[in-house]
Amino acid sequence: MVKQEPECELGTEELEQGLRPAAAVDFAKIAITAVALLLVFNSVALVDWTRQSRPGPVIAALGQPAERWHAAMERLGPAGLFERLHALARSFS
Amino acid sequence: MVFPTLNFLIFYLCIWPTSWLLLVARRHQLHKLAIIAGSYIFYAAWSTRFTLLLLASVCLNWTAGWLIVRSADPSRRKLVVGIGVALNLALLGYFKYWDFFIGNLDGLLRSVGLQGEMPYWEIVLPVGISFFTFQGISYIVDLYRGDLDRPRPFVDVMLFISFFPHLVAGPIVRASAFLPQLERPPSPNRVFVSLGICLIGWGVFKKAVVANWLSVDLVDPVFRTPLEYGGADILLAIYGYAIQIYCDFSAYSDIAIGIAALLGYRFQRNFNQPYRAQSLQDFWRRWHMSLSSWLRDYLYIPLGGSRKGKARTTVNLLATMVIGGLWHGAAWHYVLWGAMHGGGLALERATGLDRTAAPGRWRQTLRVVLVFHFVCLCWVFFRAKDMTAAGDMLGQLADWSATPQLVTPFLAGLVVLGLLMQATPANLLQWLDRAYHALSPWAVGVMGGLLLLMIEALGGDGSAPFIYFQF
Repeated sequence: MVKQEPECELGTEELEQGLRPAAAVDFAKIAITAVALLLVFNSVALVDWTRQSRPGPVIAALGQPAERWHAAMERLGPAGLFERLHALARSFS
Repeated sequence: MVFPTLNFLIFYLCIWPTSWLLLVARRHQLHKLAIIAGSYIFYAAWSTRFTLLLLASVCLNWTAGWLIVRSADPSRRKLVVGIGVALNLALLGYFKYWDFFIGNLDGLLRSVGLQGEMPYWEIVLPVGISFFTFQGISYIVDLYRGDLDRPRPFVDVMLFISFFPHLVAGPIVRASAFLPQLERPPSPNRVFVSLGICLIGWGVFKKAVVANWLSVDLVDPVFRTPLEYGGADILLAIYGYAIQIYCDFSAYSDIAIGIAALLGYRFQRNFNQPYRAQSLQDFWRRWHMSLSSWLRDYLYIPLGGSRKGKARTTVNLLATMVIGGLWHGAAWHYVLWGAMHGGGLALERATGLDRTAAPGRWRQTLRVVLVFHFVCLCWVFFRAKDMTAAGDMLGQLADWSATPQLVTPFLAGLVVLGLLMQATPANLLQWLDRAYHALSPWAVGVMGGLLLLMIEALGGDGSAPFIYFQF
């Protein structure tokens, strides 16, 4: 005897109860903004990533621009701001 | 490739638009193939050769499912499902338990004076094998039981078993819950974006801040050399581990559920404030829910559950939890951890504590405290590298003469924060969802970016791997 398969309507799962769905494209806007902020303030992470990744053509091509980008962010201020925030958090812990 | 890393972010920011663009172009089949390709790239980042093992698991379970449905004879169907489950377990047994079995056999033979060359193969454990094996079993058993009405196309089974959000550390997704989602393409206009970003943000915070700091600065040093620490450090490390493993594993589950939700797929929740449980049964309904319900439905109930008398129920509970312990790792301390939980569950059932609610707030609180401390005691055996180390931890707990070395307000505060997480309001997600819809996506992006920067700044310098990768 075959049982009825569970319904897959939206909002039926416990975690989704009471939540309103949105358009997928909203996440694209959120991701673009968040990544831009990370690139501006945490530009050092990009440099660390190119230095720590396995060498290859992509990493080789990205290495120099990442260094230049980080240097620019340091000169303009946001990278230094994040460094100070990081140091503050370290002193607190 | 680990979730909260730049590598994964780049990977996800490639796979996410690709999968949705293919859906918008009405290419559902290509959408599935793109996610499968992404999943194999994700897995190949751990090990290229084990992608073949993953593919073998898919082929085995798809073939078994096809044979089950084709067989009209019930005894033949039973035989096929039995062989299918046995082959899955053989695969898991070979990679995970061979050296453990040989080591114990060697010890046993030496104890009776027999010595010889034993075939230790030092087999490398493929990441995620415990998870994808259980999911494969779920496919063939769900088909056999009729929870799935028909065998699914190879591509669907491949996507179900290999889907990257749950592939290496769960949650264990049921075939009967996931495969029907592949029948129709997810709608690009009905995505639970707020759920996805809230779970991802919360998961990254729990892992990068709470779990990492506790692991690197407290739990790892104390469990590595317990004899160098006194009672206060040991006690905080035990509490710290209870919070670390919760923040670590629930973080992975939250991120997995979140990234699947943003791709339009739904997983069931895996944790529900486990340290507020009033009984062990309640704890297992809140902790690693996908594993505990899997063990209940595919092991405990087929063994007879509680339908065959008190003695048999006790045996079934013990067997289920011991196997659950062994699932976590091939070592006796995991077996003991499972046996302690099984024994506790059997005791609760025998005394009726699992069914009766404690009258009054104080008695309820007392029960929560008692269950939490029993769970913490069990965690000592789970975390210690062997039984001797667990004994050392518990022995040092009685020595309060030494000056505390690691008890700091910061680390104690993280433990308290982890405990407070068990008391967040039940409607928090709904509240955050309303806040999300009141803002524009760009504003949410700014807030999300700032939150990630805060987490990055607060996170510890050392990064501990996710605990459940080793299972």
